[in-house]
Amino acid sequence: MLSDEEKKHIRDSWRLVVPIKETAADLFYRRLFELKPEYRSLFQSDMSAQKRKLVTMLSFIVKSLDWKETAWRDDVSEADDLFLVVLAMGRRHSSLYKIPDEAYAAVGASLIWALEQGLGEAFTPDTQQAWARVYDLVSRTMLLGSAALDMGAAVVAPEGDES
Amino acid sequence: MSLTIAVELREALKGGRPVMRGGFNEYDAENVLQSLSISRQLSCVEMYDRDERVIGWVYLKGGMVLAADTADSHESGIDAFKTLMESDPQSYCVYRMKPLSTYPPPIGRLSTTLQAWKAESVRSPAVPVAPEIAVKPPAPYNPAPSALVRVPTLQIGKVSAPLASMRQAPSPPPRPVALPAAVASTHATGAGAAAPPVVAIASPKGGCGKTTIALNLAVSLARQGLRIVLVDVDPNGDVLSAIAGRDRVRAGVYEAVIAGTDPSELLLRTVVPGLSILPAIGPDFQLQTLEPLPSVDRWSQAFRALSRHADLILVDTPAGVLWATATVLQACTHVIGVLQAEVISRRSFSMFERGLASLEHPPAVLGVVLNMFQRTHSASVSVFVDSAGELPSAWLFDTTIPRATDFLSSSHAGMPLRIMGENSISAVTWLFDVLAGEVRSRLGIEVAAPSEVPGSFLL
Repeated sequence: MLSDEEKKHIRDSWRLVVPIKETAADLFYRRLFELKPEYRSLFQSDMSAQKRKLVTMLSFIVKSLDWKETAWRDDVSEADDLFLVVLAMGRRHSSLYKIPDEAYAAVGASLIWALEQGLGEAFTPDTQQAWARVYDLVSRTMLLGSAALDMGAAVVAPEGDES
Repeated sequence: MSLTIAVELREALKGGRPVMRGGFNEYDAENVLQSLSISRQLSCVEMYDRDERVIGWVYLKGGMVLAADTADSHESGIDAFKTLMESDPQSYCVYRMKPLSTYPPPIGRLSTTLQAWKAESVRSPAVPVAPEIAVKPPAPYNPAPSALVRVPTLQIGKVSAPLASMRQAPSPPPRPVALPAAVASTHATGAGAAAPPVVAIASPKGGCGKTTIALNLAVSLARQGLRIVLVDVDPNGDVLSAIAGRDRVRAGVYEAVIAGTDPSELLLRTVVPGLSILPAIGPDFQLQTLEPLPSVDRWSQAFRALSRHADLILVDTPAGVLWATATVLQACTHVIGVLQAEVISRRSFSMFERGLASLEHPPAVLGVVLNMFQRTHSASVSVFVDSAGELPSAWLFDTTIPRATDFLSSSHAGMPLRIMGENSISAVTWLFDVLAGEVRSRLGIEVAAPSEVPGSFLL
């Protein structure tokens, strides 16, 4: 789990991304297809909906990290639980969209790159590290979801969750 | 944690809902718990042993390890947690549970609890040797610019280095390598002079990563400037399956050896300069033509024919040291044994030693690689310690290859590790460079430094 300090880095930097979120999404996909041109065909030709989904998912992740460690006893609903949502997302990415496991490295690299380009100096080493940590946890959980035998535990995901 | 809490949680678990169950592609317990640490709901990981028996439960909530409990009820709290982690669960079931009205004081954050467990593991006498796997830079070899400092991306920790490397243009073409006189003269005079070493990769047991080692070692050696021919001698054709190249093959080394012809024209070139692959068999190969087995002389003849294409020939053999493998091994100059870091495999390794000893012309043992090593795994570590003591001195390479999920994704993509992840080279890839350095140094093959080193940095 992330420390309170890491969570704060995530929230603070995301606040700066929100006003330029379209640009950030552009940068992300441009970088991804630069690194892996073969992934372009996994997406539809019109990327605008896809970009919105990416931003929505990132917003959800950031929002779900907005709590202090001392509040570990508090509960959240199933649809707001980062683990279940991300697990289901991983499951869909492998079974529905046929995203290969090794894509996670390029996606992570593109995400960090896009954030760095978008945030400039505000993307401090601590912020970088916090985002890398979030991505590590999220991608691990997605991979777990893709590896797990589905037990029919359908999980309601927030609207537009594909990245 | 008091026993009442354990009972209470076990009771609450009955109303829990299973979210998923399985072995999750070799996800170890730590990975499963790490993933679950992002859940704010009360969750439980039920762990099973090899025989699908429940060994215990770990309860998590909001990144805290709430409790741990072994199935035999002998332990609870941090002790139970450590016992469960040490017992290497083989599969899991993750439950989501209804919230409790009150929670016991947690054992601690997952990160600190994991650290406590690992710290204890390190105190056990076996482990001081284990840090051997620490990455050392490849010793006598001057890496090409493209091989410089590629830290695995997005593993927690250093981020700036891979990012910096990502901004660079695509990797420059491999540098020209000035080979030392000894090796270079072989080229000049052709196969007549000193023949290149023919190194078999062998192991007593299947499935311990021979082909993975052979392929990735071949890539690293080629990148260090040697011309490598990788010969697949396993009719099951693992090498070509590993790189998704089955459909490219017309015929293989077996056809050539049986017919007594030069296999050179069957070599497949790869994207790695200097590395070519000779497949085992073509699509029309009939297994019954293997009766009788090709003789040692036929194999030697084939390897000699390949000499002019290689500074080093690597031979991926079928598991075991008997039957077909025995004749191939006698045509090789050296053998590298692959030992899987599990007790059962170590035992079968003595068979390997005995098998080698029974050969009329055994190849020299260049070394033994410990594969699928898990530092946090006591059985793995004990094999390491035992084999260090039992194998003839200096057999074991300094480099050991860990069990890593990178192998799964790379074989899924049909690529050697390094080629697959040119933008996010994993630490395991780097280890093969180090291993390649060791192999070269044991064979006495030096690779000269790049000739065009500028006199000064500032112009």
